Amino acid sequence: MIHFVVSSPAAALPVIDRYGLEERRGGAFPLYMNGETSLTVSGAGKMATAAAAGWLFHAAGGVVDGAWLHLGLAGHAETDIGTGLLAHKVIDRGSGHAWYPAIMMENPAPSGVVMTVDQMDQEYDEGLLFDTDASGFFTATEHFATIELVHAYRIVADNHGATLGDNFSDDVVEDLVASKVGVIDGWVEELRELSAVAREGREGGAAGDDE
Amino acid sequence: MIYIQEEVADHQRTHEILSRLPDAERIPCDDWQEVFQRPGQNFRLQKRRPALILGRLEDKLVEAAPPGLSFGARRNYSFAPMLNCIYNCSYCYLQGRFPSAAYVLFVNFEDFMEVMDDRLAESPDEDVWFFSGIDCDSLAFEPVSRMAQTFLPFFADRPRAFLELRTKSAQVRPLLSRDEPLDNCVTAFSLTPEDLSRRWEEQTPAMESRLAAARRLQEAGWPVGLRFEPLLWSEDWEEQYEALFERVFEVLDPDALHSVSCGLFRLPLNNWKRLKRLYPESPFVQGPVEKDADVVTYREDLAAELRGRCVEQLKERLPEGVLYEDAHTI
Repeated sequence: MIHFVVSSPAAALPVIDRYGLEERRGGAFPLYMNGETSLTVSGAGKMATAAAAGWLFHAAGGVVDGAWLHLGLAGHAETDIGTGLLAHKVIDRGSGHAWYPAIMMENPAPSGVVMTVDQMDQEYDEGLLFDTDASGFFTATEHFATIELVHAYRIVADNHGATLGDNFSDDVVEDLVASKVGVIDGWVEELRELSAVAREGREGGAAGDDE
Repeated sequence: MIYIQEEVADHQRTHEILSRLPDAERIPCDDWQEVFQRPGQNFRLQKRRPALILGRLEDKLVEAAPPGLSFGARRNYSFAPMLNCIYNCSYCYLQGRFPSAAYVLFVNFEDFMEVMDDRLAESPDEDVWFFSGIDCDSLAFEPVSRMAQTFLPFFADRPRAFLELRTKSAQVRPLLSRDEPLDNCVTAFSLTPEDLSRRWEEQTPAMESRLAAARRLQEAGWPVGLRFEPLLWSEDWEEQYEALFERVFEVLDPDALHSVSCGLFRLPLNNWKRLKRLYPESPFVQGPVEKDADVVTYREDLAAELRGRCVEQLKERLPEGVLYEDAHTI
């Protein structure tokens, strides 16, 4: 079982195509599903992301220890546009709270620290990825799955030397995400398997604890 | 992946360890516990690709050893410069003992030594034992940690201080590379019948490798101990243990052994509950075990038979005073 949360419809399209997800209408957030794969589009900001992740958990059946992947764009001082980085640490600038996702995948992407801010200002500190969503994602999903199953993947769309600026169109966003679908695909099966092991343990081990 | 506590980022030992793992991604963290104790972890999943955390231990560097852990001395202490084990033994109390399966290596070895000196000073006329293999395997991570290599000179200068290195590994190079053996450093090999080891001691060296390592140490004059802990039940345990004992005492000189101990599989109830949550299908959960208020062990009839026969066989092969029955490390 894997759940995707993405911030914009354009970023969602390559994932919807790859996994043959079908739209389910009528919910608070857009919902796309196919079997054990689901996706929602949150809109920007950590509050919206947390709300969307919480909503998706219930809309997709409310199963604890599913796998979760948040896909989004980020700014970085010196990393090339189009570079993909997994978050190995997420910090919420407002609260100072940090999460350390445990990366278990065999072939993870290079990783980095994501700093979630309320407003992007393009004054990027050295070495950090900046976004507006990741801390909201982890705030919500830490209630639904263990940290090995929850990941955020960021594609650099902005840096000190270059910015997508006026070219930041839906097509560009879609292309950026589409260029990484192969990488994401490599993790999806692994995350599904990890999720299955975690759920099996939870179901089997919980029985008769107080015997 | 290596998490590095900011405070030890510039420690010489940190640099040395990192130089041995040049390809690992490095992640700074404020405190080792921030990563190791983070909520919502799944130990079983992490065991697939455990991270390494380099940190500094500030408190409880040297603690009183568990009551059952003694080879005659009155003063027995345990110390753990590392938490968690690179092996994955199904019955081990380290399964789920900590919330994370990451290996934590405390690089401040010298602080451990300082507390050991304090303990020695508290008992000026006695031998004092320090056991290092409770929360980790003492030698398995040696190629990265160089823990034994660093601690041996400390013990070489303090003949009243005894060190037990307890291991399932065959990493004895740091000992053999010294000019002279140390009478106060006992390398204690945990041994299990080969077939049971292949089943339940994932990633451990083969029994023959452990025996070969023990023999090399014995031939070089180092004190060697054997730990048949835990004794494990299976349908054919009697043949398995008979074959093991026969082979062990073909390879090793029983008269030159420092100590031999044996003890049944047993887990504190809370550890067993954690094991059950992690591995509900485990034979140590589903098998012929029984619980009392504090401990889970084999059913009484099986336990008596297994223990009795193994003790009998060991007594037949060992000189007086070497065998410690009913050893309980935890």
